[in-house]
Amino acid sequence: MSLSLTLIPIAIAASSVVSYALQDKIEEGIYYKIDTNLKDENILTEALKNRGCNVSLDKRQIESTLGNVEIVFQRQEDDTISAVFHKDIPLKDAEEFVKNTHEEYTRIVQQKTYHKLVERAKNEGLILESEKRNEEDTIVLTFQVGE
Amino acid sequence: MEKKIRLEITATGEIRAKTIGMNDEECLDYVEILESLLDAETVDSKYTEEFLLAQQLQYQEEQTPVEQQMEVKGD
Repeated sequence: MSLSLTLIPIAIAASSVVSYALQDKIEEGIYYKIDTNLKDENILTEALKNRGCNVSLDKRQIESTLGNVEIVFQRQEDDTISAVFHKDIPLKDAEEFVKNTHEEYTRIVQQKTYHKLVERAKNEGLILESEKRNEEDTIVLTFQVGE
Repeated sequence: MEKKIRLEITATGEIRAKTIGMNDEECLDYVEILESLLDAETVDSKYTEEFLLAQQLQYQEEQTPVEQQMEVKGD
């Protein structure tokens, strides 16, 4: 007998919209934003640094620069974080930047989830039987359940 | 059957979990345990086909009169 579950880490919003959607241009068209389902500013900061961005974090937003380009990340009312770009940055480039940052973010979440699981499993009587990484870069772990 | 849990942590951050060899109550206990272990929330859950089949068989056995069950067993 078995039950199948799908879980989403709390660092990622459990939204059915996983990709990004261009929102209304903001601040009278000088800036525009791209929404994401990212929620954790510390992981986002790490992802941006891994991508070679200079990052500064204040209470309200994350400011990052890649070369001469400045990108601001702002938390939204639904607790997700949106990327804000100047209108001079082509939309295609902005979407590419957000896509790559999102991939790096989820790669970090995957690693953190793996380490958390391996560390905590023993306390729940779960014994790691096997682990492998498949061709889709998914980590597959099988645990024996102790009596 | 040995009790196991199989977990897949995808590159998109999603986690897929499957309990193996557990009864329904044990399966449900692990929903909460996994959420806590993984700092995650369940967005979808379903019993597998084998589980539903086993439940159906159990239900059919319960509905079958005792004499009929004995006849079947007698064969």
